[in-house]
Amino acid sequence: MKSKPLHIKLDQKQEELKSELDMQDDVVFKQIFIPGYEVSGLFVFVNGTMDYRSFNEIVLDLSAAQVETRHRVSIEQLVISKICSVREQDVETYETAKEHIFDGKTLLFIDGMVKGYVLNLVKEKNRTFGEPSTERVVRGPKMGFIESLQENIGLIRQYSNHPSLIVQQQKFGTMEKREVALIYYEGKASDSLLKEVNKRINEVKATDLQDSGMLEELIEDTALTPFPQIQNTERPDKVLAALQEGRVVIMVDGSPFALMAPTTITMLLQSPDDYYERWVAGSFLRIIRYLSLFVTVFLSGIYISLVSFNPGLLPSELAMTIAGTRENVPFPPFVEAIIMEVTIELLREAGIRLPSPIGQTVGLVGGVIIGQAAVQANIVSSLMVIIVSITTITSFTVPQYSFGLAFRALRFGAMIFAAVLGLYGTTLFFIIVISHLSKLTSFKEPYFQPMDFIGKKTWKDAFLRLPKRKKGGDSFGPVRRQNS
Amino acid sequence: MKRLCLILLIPLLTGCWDSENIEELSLVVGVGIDKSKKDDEIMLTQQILVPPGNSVQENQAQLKYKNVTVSAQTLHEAIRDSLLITNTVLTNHQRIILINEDVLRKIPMEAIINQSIRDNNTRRSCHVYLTKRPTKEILGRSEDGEIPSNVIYELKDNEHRTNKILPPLTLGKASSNLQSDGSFAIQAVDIRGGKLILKGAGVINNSKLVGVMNDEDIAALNWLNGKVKGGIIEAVQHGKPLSVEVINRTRRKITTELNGDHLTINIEVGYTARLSEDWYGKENSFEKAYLKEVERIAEDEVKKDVKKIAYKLQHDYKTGVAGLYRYVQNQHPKFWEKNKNKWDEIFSKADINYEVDLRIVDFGSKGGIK
Repeated sequence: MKSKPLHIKLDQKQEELKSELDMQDDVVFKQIFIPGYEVSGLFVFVNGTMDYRSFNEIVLDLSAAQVETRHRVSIEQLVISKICSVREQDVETYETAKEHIFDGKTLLFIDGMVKGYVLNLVKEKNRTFGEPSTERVVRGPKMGFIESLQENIGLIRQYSNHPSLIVQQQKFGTMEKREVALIYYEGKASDSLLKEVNKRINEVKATDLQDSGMLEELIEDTALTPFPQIQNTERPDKVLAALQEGRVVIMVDGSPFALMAPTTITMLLQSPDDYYERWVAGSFLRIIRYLSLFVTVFLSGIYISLVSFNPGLLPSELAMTIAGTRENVPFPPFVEAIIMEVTIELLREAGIRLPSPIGQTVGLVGGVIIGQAAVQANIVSSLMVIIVSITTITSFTVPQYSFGLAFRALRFGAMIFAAVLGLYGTTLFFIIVISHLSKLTSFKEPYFQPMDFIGKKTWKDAFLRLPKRKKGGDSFGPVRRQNS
Repeated sequence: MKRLCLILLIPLLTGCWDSENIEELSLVVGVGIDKSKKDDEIMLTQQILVPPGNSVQENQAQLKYKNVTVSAQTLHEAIRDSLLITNTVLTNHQRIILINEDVLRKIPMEAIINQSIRDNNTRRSCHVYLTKRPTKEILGRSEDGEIPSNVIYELKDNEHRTNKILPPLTLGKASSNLQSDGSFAIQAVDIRGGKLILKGAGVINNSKLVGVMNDEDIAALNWLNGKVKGGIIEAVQHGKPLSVEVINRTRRKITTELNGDHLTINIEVGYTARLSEDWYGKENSFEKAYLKEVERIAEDEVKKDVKKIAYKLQHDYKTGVAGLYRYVQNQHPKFWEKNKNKWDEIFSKADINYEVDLRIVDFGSKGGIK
C-alpha cells in the first residue's frame, strides 16, 4: 500500500481514501461541481483545522467559473489560477495525501486529473498575546509569547528588524513533528557557541516535544544539579536583550517559553525592570534579591544550628525569647522546621494546581490558620512559623521560577547539615553549594561567571545596576563578556 | 549516584552529639560567689533565666529567673553540683560575676576567677563586681520581676552621665591586671532602700582586697586617671552652689620623670564643660570673665579631690590602682624592669602633679540678667 499512486477517477480516489480513513470520523469529503467545465471536484480535509471563510471563497470562485470562448483555458489552468494564493504543492500518492490531510491542509482533487492539490487553509488556534503570567513587571512591555512559533518569531522580528538576526527552523520529533527555531544575531553569537548548540540539538532531534522544558533537559550540560543551566522566559524583551548579548535563543512550537543559552547565575537574578527603572531602585532591588536568596536557603538552617548547637551566639534576650517560644514544643528544632517547611511546600503546590480563586483560599487557610493552630497546639514554636514564612516569601523574589525551585530544594539540604553539624555544617553546606556552582557550566561557559569580573568593568551589572553611559545608536542591554 | 548516597549517609552515623536544644539549657546570666558556712568551701549562686512561657497570661507576675546555690571546694565542682538541681548550665550569656568581700579577704582573686578565665564558654567581657552583702542576697533582690543581673549590668551604661562609676572591669581586664601589677579598683554593688545600687569600690592589690572607697573617691580616681566620661563637678561660688557638667575630654598627657629612684608623675587633663546650674542670683554667663571664674572654681574643686585620693592611694592603700605603672613601663623601661617588684613602694613615695584644664563652652539656654 506504501506510496500507492492516485487513481485518475474521482470516485475511485474517494473510495480508496475513505476505506483507508474509515476510522477517522473527523475527515470530511466535500464534492463540488464546476458547471462551466462540467467536471466535479473533491475537497478532503480534517474537520476543525480549516478556515471556512477562505474555503467558501474558493468554492464560490470555482463554481462560478465560465468557459471563456476567446482564450480557451484548460480545467487545470483554471483551478491553479483560482487556488494559487493558498496552493502549496501537489500530491501523487495516497501516502503523501494522507500526511497532508492530517497536517491540517485541505486537498483538492479534480475528476480526470491524477494529482491532487494541497491547499493551505490552516487556521491556527491561538490565544491572544497577553501579559506574561510568570514574569510580571511593574514597568516595561506587557506582552508575552504565545504557543505559536510563527507568531512568536514574528513578534521578535517586529522589534528587531536587523537583517543579521538569523532564524533557523528545523523539525523535531517522530510522531508529531514540531518546529524548533534557533535564533541568534550573526556576528554577535560566537561560532563555538553556535557549533555547540547545533551539535546538541542535532543529537536529540528524534524526540517528541510538548514544551521547551523537555528540550532544555535534553541539551543542558549536566542533569546532576538543582540549578537550571538554561534560562527560559515568556518575555520578548528578555529574548531581545539576550540576543544582543550574543546568546542563542531556542523556541519550540507550542511552547510560550523561549530558551536562552548560555546562562549565568547573575542573569537568573536579574529582572527586566531593573533596567527600566532608575538605577538606584534597580540596584537596591537587586541587592534585596541576593539577600533574599541567602535567606531562603540558610535562614532555617541557621535557626536550627543556633537553637540546638550554638545558643551562645544569640544575644541573651533573643535566647530567652526563643527558649520561651520553644518551651512546650515536643520536637527538636529540625523536626519542627521540617514539619513547617513541608507544610508550606504542600500548600504552595496545592495553590498552584487549583483554580486561582480557590488557590488563594488554600494559601490563606494553610498559611494563617494552620500556622496559628499549630502554634497554639504547641506543635511548632511561633518563631519557627515566622522563619518559615520569611523563607517562603523570600523564595518568591527570584525572578526566574525554575531558579527559585532549586533554592527551595537546597533549603532542605541546609537544614539537614545544620541539624547534624550545627553552624559548622551550615557553613560547610554553603561551601559545597558555592564550589558546585563554580564547577557548573552552561554551554561550556562558567555558570558563576560574573564573579570573576571583579576588576573588569562588567561586575557593575552583576550585583548592582549602575547607570549606563550614553551609547550612540547602540541598543541598551546588559553588558556581558563576549567569549569570541 | 550510589557513591554519592553513601557519602551523604556518613554524617548520619555520627548523630548529633553536640545538639542540645536551647530550652533544655540553663542560661546563666549572673554568678555570685560567697563564703560557705563550712570553712574550706565556697558558695556559688547562679542566676538562671527561666523562659517566660508561651502564653501571654503566664507572662505577667512571674519571676523570670531562679537562683541556684551550691557549695563546694572549687568553683567548677560547684557548677557541676548545680546540675543536680537544674539543667545543663550554659555560661555563654553570663554577664556579671559578683564576689563577696569576705571571700576576697581570704582567697586570692586570681583563684576565684580562675575557672571563668580558663573556661572558653564564659566571655571575657563579663563584668566583675564586689559586694559587701552576701551575693545571694543581691542576686535575690528583684523589683517588678526584673532580673537583678541585668539591672546591675545595665547600670554601667550611665558611665557617660556620672563620674561616680568606675569604668567596667571585665573578666579579661581583671585577669590581665592580676597578671601585671596586680592592683586595680573594682566597682561594688549594694542594696539601698530595697534597690540595687552601684556604691563604692574595692581596692585590690596582689589579688587581695586592701581597702574600700566611697563614691567621691571613685569620682576623684576617675579624674586622676582622666577616665571621666561625664558627670557633674559641684562647687560653691559666692556662697551659692553651682554645677558644671563635663562634656568631652580634649586632652590627657601623663609624663613620668625619674630622679634617681624618685618618681614624679605629671598628669595633665583638659575637658570641655557646660555650666549646667548656677544658684547665684547675680550671675552673668555672657561675661567671659565670669565663666573664667567658674572654670577656676571648678578646677580647684577637682584638684582638691584628686589630691585627696592621691594621698589615700599613696598612704592608705599604698598601691597604684590608677594604672599609672604603664606610663613608667613605657617611658622608663629599664627602671621598670629593675623595680617592678617594688612598684607599690615607689608609687607611694612618688610626687603626683595634677593639672586640670576646664573650658566652659556652653552655658545652656539661660544666662545673663537681661
